[in-house]
Amino acid sequence: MKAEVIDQRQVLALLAITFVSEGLLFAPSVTFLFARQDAWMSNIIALVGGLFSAWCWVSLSSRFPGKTLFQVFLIIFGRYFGLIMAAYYIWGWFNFACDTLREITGLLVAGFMPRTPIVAFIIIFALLSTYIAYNKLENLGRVSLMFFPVILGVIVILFILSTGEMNLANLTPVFENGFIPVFKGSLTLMFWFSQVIGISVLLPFLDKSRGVLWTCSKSIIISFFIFELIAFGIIAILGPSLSSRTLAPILYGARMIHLAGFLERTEILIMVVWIASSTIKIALYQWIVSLGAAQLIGMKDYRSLVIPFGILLICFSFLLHPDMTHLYNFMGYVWSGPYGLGYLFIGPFIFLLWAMITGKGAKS
Amino acid sequence: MKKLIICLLLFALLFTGGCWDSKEPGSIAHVLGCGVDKAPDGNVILTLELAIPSGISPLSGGAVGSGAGTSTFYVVSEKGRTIPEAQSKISERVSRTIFWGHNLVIIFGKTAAEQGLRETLNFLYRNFEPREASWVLISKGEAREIFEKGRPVLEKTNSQAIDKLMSANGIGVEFVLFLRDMYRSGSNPAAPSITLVKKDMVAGAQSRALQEPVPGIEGLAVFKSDRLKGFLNPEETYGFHFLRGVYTKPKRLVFITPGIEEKKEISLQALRWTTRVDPVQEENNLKIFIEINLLGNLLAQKGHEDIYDMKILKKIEENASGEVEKLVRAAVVKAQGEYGTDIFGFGETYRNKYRKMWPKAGPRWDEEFAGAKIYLSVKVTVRNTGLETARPEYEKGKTGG
Repeated sequence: MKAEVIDQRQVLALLAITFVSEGLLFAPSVTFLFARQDAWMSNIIALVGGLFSAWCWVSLSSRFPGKTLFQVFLIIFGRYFGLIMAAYYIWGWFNFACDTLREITGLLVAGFMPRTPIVAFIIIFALLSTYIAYNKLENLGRVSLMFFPVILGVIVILFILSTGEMNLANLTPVFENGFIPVFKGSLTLMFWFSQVIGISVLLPFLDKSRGVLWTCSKSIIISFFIFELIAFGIIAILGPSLSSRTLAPILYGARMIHLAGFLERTEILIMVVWIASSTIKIALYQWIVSLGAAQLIGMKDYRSLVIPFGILLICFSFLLHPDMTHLYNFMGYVWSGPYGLGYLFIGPFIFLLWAMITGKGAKS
Repeated sequence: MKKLIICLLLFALLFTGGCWDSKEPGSIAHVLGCGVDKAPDGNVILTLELAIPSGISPLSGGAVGSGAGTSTFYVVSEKGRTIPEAQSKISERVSRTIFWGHNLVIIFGKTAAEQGLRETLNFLYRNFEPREASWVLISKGEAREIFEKGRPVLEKTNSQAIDKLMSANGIGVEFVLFLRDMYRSGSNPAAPSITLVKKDMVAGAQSRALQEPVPGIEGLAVFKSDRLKGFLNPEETYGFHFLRGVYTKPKRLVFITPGIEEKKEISLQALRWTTRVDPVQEENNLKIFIEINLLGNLLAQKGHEDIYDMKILKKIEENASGEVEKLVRAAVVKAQGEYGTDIFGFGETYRNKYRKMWPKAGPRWDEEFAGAKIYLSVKVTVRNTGLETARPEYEKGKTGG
C-alpha cells in the first residue's frame, strides 16, 4: 500500500479544491440567504470552525500512524461497531461525490445546455473521474496541483475585473440583523470546510507527516480568502436580495463583467473552473470510497472497485435527488444542518475524545 | 491497452456531436432588443427585434435609411399571458431558434411599467440567455413602437443605436441595478426614458430619414418599487444625476450658468462630482443634508468677462453652484411632491445611520422622504477652461455690448 506517495503541496491543492469547488456552486447562495450582506462575517466564523475540524481530524489520524480513517475506526471501536462506522463514512463520501456530480451537471444543464439530457454529462464526468481515480492517488495529486493555480487565478482575475461593477453600498448596513443570522449562514461553509476529513485518509500516503496540520490550515485559509472574494464581490455586484436567490451566484457575477466593449462573456471561465474543480473532487472521493471499501473487506488492491463505484455514482446521482429543488434543499439544509455537521464536525471530536479515554493509539 | 484507448476515444465521439444544444450561427435568430407591453386585457405583448445577419454583415454596408433594399432588423410582436408564452408564439413564425444571448436593451412600455413590472421581468433574470448587463429603458408610449417605427441612422438596428446611445452618454441603467433597486428597501429604481424623436435631421442624399424618427432619450422614468410613477424632464434628470452619480456615470452633462454680464451665459461641463448625504432625524421631522462637490470644465462663454481674473472666476463658480442647486432642487421637489418616491437612495444612508429605527421607518420610507426637509450645499470648481484664456479684446469698439 505504501507504493503511492504524494507530497504536502499536492495535499494542500487537493483539499483546497474540495472546499473551493463548492464555493463556486450552491454554497454561497445558502450563506447569503441567512446572513445577507454580512456573509463575509459568516465566513470568518466558518474559518474558525474549519480550523478546529482540521485539528480534530489531524490529531485523530496522527495517533494512528499509517492507518487510514477506516482502519482507525476498526481499532478504536472494535470489529463490529467499527465496521458500521467505517461503512457509514464510506457512504457519506459516496454521497458527497454523487451530490457534487449532480450539482455540477445540473448547473451545466440549467445554465449552458438546457436541452441536453443530464445523463450525458453525468456519464462523461463519471468516466473522467473513474479514469483519474483508477490511475491512483499520485496522478490525482499532480492533476490537482496543476489545476489549483488555474482555479485560484481565474477567481482572482474575475474579481479584479468585476470591481467596476461593484457598489459597496450593497454591503451595508453591517450587522443589521444581529449575530444569529450570521451564525446560521456560517454553518454551510463550516460544513464545507469540515471536508478536511479527507486528510484522515490521505495522511498515510504523505511523504512526511510533519506539519500536516499546517498544510490543512493553509488549504482552509486559502479557500477562506476565495470564499471572501466571492462573498464580497457577488454581494457588491448583485445586492443581497438577488444573490441569495441565485442558484450559482458566481456565474451571475462573472456575467456582469463587460470591460471596454471587448472583454465580455467571462462566464465561460467559470465553466472551466467548475468542471476542473468538480472533476477532481469527485475523483478524489471516488478514490477514497474505493480504498475504504477495499480496506474494509480486506482486498489487496482497491483498483478493481473503482469502476463499480463509478457505475454506482451514475445511478445514485439520479436516485438520491429527483430534481434541482431537492438537491438544493439537501445541500443547503440537510448537509449543512445537523446531519452533515454531526457527521464531520461533532463526530471527529467525539472520536478523538473516545480514543483518548480508551487510550488507543500512540500519544504524539 | 492501445486498442482499449482507441475504443474509448471512438466511444467518446458519440458525445462530441453536440446534437442537443448545438447553436449554429446559421440556425439562430439573434434577439438584439426586447420590448414588453401590457395589452388592455392584461396580456403581455412581447416585441423582439431580431437581427438579419445578411443585412448586418460589414461587407454589405449602408444603413437602413439608405434604402438599398437590404434590411438589417426585423421586429415581431406577439401577445401572451407571460413572456415565455409570447416568445413561443413568436417562434412559430420565426424560421430560426430565438437566441437571447446578444440582447442589448430591454424596453418596458408605459402601461406595463405603471401596472408593475415584478410579474413580467422574472423571465429575463431566471434564464441564462438574456443578459443581466442589458440596458433597461422605459418607453413613453408603447415599447413596440420604438422598435417598429424607429429608423436609426448611424447604427444598423434600433437596439444597437440605443446601446451606443447609453454608453456614449453614460446614462444607462443595467438590468441588474434596476432589479437591485426594486428589491432593496431604501431606494427605488429609475431608468432613462426612451422616445422616438422626429427632429431636424436629414440623412443622406435621399433625405428619407427626415420623415422617420430615431430613438432618443428624454428624461428619466421614476419608479416606486416596481411601478412607474412618472417622468422627470431633462433638467430634473440632470439634478438626479448630480444626486446619484454612482448609479449612472453621465459623460456629457452640460449645463448653463449665468455669467457676469447680463444674459451672457456660460456653458459648463460637469466632469466629476461627489455627493454626500447625511440624514438627521429630529424628533418627528427628518432633515437631509446634501453636499455636492462638482468639478467642471468651462466650454464656452457668451460674454467677454475675463475669466482669468480669480475674482471673476470665483463669481462664476458661485453662479454655477446656484445653478446646480436649482437643478437638484427641481429633481428633489418633483420626487418628493408629485411622485413621493425616493429614487436617490437616501434611504440606504438613513438605514446605515439609524439602524435601530429602520425596521419602523423602512416600510414607509417614501412617505418619510416626502416629508423631509432638504438642505443643499453645492460647491462647483472650474478646473479647465479650454485652450483659451480670456477672450480677445473686441477692438472694433464696445457698441454691440
